[in-house]
Amino acid sequence: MKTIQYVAVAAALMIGSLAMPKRAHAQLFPNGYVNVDWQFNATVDNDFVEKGSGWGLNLEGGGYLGMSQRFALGLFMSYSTNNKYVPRQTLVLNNQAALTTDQQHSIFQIPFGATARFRMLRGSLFEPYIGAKVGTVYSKIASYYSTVELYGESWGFYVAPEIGVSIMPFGDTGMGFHVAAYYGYGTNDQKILSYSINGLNNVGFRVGISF
Amino acid sequence: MKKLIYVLIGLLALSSCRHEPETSDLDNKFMVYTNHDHSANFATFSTFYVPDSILLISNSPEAEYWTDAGAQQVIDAYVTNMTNKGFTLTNDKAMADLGIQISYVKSTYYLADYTYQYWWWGYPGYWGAGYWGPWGGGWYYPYPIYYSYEVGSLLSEIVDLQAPQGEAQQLPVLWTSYINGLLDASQEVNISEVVDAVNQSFAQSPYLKK
Repeated sequence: MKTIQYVAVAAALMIGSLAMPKRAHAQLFPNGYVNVDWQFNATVDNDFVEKGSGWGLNLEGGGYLGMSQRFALGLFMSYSTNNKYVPRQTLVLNNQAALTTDQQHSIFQIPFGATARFRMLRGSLFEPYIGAKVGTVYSKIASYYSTVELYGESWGFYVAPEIGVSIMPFGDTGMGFHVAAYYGYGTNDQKILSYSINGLNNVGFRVGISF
Repeated sequence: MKKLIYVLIGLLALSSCRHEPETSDLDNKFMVYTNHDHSANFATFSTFYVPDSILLISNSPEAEYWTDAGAQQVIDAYVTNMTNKGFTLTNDKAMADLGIQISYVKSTYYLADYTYQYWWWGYPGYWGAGYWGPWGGGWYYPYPIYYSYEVGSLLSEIVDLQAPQGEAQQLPVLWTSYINGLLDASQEVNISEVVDAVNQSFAQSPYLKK
């Protein structure tokens, strides 16, 4: 787990350095942005875990291109955990085996890759945008029961359209807030015990800071 | 300002990582796993034999057996369930169609942790950190402390005593059950939980009947 935390911090620093200006300026990143968000993620069409969970984070940053400064490209990384307690039941694992236990289910996801956005307004208090993220997603799907942790790991292709708004109440400082809503899909497939997960559908929102 | 932002990013990243589910929320009853030979027709068997003791699997080089009243309760649970399934207990091993072998493993796991709170910290009247002054955060150990937990596993197998015998022959295991869970400090509670789990192992094996 500490490795993931180190990766998150390193990614944030890398994203920050990508958006770093060459010369000092009133704004921290005059041609770029960095978002650090708390993320609420809900799984869709998936009974393995609870629908919604606030155990998540999103880090992203990029630079605006061209004269219009409306289109940006960058990098992102986020992660989320959704858990669920499953009361004691008997699972038929195949034609021969059966398992009776209660369980704690968990799905942990880390999508990361490239992000793009187009902001409809520039230089105003509210800068609404539409965007999309494309990359890969690592997932760990686990069942905890008795003294056992049974888990499977998988990688998949990830795509996530997004709408959001940057709120910039502090003028030239470039500091502000960020709100976004997204849908994310990963192609990850996983089988564990008698459960089969075909694709990871997620919706959620993010609230954080922007600079 | 930039340093402050990086620190903020770091704090946010550290404060929101994978949230593993609380295994303490599990019901602490034993898990029961069963499997069987799909080609076996249990209706063709009539009698069964059970040894009067349970094999203890440990690091000891000598075979050890669990024979006290608790062991007898566990063995009786197997006899009762087999009888309810239509099989007949026999005390003559040579005449039995099926044999039941039961083994028990008790394992102790030792962990080192910096954060585990000893249970006696919650004991009424035990020294609270507040006794010494305004340490609202309570106690902590700046060095690793060690604790342990015990896990019990009951392994049982039904073997086919009608199978061909001989030097080159193997004894088929027709049914197997694996019961596993954390042990309570009370032996009575543990035996009760094991008996419930044995009953469950037969309940989830509807094919196992005369």
